[in-house]
Amino acid sequence: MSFAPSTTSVKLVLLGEAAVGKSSLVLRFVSNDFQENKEPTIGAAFLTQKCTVGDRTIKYEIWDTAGQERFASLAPMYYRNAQAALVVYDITKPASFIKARHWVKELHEQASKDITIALVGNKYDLVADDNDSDDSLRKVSMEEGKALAEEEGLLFFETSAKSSHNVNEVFVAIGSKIPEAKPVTEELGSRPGNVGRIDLSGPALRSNLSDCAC
Amino acid sequence: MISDDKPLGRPPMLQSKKSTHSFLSSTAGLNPASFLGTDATTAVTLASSDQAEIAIFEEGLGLAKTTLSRSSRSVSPQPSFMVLPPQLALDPLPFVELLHDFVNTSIAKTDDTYKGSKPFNILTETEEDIDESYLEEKVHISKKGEGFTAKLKQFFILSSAGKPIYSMNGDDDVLLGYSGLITTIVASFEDGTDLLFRSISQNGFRMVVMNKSPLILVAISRVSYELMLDLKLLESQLSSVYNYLLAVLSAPVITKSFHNRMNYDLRRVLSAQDLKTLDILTSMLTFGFSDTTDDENKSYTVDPSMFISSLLDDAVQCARLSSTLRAKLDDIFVSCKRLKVNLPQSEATPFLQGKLYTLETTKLLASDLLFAFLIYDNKIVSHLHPKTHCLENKDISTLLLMLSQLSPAGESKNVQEEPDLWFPICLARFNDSGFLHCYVRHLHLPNLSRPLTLLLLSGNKNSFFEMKQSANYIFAKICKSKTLSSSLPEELAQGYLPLTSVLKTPQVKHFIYKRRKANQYIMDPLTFSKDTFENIVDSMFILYLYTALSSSKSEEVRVGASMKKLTYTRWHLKEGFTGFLLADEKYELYCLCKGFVTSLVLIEQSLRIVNWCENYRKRLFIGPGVQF
Repeated sequence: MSFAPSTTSVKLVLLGEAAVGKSSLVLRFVSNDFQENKEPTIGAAFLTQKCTVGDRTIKYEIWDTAGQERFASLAPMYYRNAQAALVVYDITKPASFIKARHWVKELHEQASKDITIALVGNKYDLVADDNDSDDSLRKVSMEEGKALAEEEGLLFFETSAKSSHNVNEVFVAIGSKIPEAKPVTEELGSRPGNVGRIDLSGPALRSNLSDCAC
Repeated sequence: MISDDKPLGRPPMLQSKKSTHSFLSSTAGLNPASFLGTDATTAVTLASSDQAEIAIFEEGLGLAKTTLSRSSRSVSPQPSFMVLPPQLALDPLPFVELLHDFVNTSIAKTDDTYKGSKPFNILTETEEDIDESYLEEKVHISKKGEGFTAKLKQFFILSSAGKPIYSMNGDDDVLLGYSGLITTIVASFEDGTDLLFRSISQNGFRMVVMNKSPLILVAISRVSYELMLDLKLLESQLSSVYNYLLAVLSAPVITKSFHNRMNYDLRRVLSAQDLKTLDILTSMLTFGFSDTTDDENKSYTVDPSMFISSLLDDAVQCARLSSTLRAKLDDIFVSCKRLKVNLPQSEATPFLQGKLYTLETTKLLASDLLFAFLIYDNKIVSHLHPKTHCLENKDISTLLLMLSQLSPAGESKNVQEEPDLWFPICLARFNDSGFLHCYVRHLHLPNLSRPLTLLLLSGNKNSFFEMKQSANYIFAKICKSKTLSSSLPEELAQGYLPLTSVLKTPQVKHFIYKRRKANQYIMDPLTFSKDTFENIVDSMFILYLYTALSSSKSEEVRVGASMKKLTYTRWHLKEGFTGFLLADEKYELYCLCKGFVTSLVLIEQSLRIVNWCENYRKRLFIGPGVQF
């Protein structure tokens, strides 16, 4: 690879139960914006965002998947070649944490061996002012999250897409864990400038594409 | 009255504007488009117009016309009329005369006692007043058990075993009894017979059943205008609901779910969003509005087009666009389909085996692309399909419904950050056992409030990046073309101008024009300005009038070689309304006028609309779309 500061492309997939805030996290990261009552994602949405980590520029190619059960069978298509995954749950919904465990397990079994996974407990804003009172909205403690992360070797964050708490930190942490030696995988879909005259030559690209299911 | 004896036996030359143009160009102040509609009509019809009508004339019609309508039964000596060669001038005459005869007979038959002052309930045809609490009680969707029986419309999706899957209103406690009853009726009727149970109708009540084992779909209506028509309307609504279920699940998934256990709960594979979409669909299909209330704001979307579409046999709406622009967009679609990309060596190798001298180094980028649409505000702008396959309108409507359920477009401030969407969809009429994969992206054009939406349907679930690149190509082509980038937003924005004012037909308040062959329609844009409640009532009123018009008894007359269908109706509601339907094998025109319009004005203005629509049909309708 070249000696100049390189742009590393990182394929990242978001997984988690419906309505835990996957799309909101992406919207915060990509547009620094937040919407109440966001419509559920249907199928999947693809976005890209560049992020500087140390002296590297990382270009995230993000697959924001739908959390609804009926799309679950499509998930392998998105995580099969992903280098990173965010497994998101809602810290006020215990069921979403159980679902997160399932996703982590599935990723370890099915995804590529060197995938970087971050476990993300979202909606921190709902409990930010709590002092561990009994009527707290929090239903999944930070310790539970941490324990799962340590057990499975995951990064762990509690975030709020609404207040933007810890959102960038997740992506920076993932970026710094991705080894620099990864070949520059210039994605064919991510070159909006190269329109009309399309040249997809280069073995790295194609081998990358041909086994990419997304 | 019926002109079978017409010597030439030709259809009336309503579309003969081109040929009359040269004759008229010398006549100052007359444009060719309005000629046959206006002057010829005026000329011949003066005599036959109804004297009694003069009393009902309202402001807006000048004195001149009032006096004209008193003139005697002779052809008016209008110069523009007289200069026409005989065959051109005479062609439309029998038809126009016929129209007048027809309208006048219809008027004579109608009871003209004016009852406008009494309140009239369009939903039940009683005198009960419609106010907000009435809508709350009878119309708005409510998932509460109490008040369930008060609702005027019900939709159910049940499993054949009687388990409720979806209901427009009510909760499970209420539903269980009814679904048991319905499945019992259906099962005992169909047991041992080859017949399918279709409907029960009684005074002011109708239940229509669609048995799609392992599902049963039921619509129950007490809405007056839905009962005016035959079963077709409710059956079409049921098939729209069924198509949505298939779109998200596909037929094999539904069958498989029930295969092992008949009491399977299909709700497990449907999401909350799917149920919400069904609420929107059922409410739109019945009342022309839907509840889009979120946690904080009560809000409703008013749009009668879904109802009108099912009234018109699933006709779809097209965006008005000049044929030059449409052709340019079509060309872009076709060129995208032909776009070749270089194959990297790794993939080129398999082609090399055995034929060392011919290197296969390129492939078609969009080889998996089957259908493409450009959509603006739920109307089709351009459409690409393979020579061998077409999408049925029902599938296109499902696609549009799905599209409206995606996150509202234009939410991100930076256009670059719009996500590319990729989701599976089963288009039931195309193939109910498999999924197509749909790529969606929005293009924000300057000076347009809504984005232009590109839909690419691919048969291959792994073709996302090829579709994305095709979309890049299509959008870049649109933005690079000077004509497109400047005229496209301008013309799309013009689609909101009321046509009745463009056409100078002040008496016609609203009209729908459908081309039968393409099964596409345009309608005068509806402008709702008042508060939501008024809008909802107005929209339902329009549905009532159009349904009443299309269900009124029509008369068939032969004009030359073609059969024309005519309906003339008056409603003594509010300030009074006149409806007129004119149809032949090519088109259907439905128009609504406020007040009781004279046959003179009505025929002149409706023929002007027909002429205009036929003349500009390439601009108004996309037809079958472009093929590859």
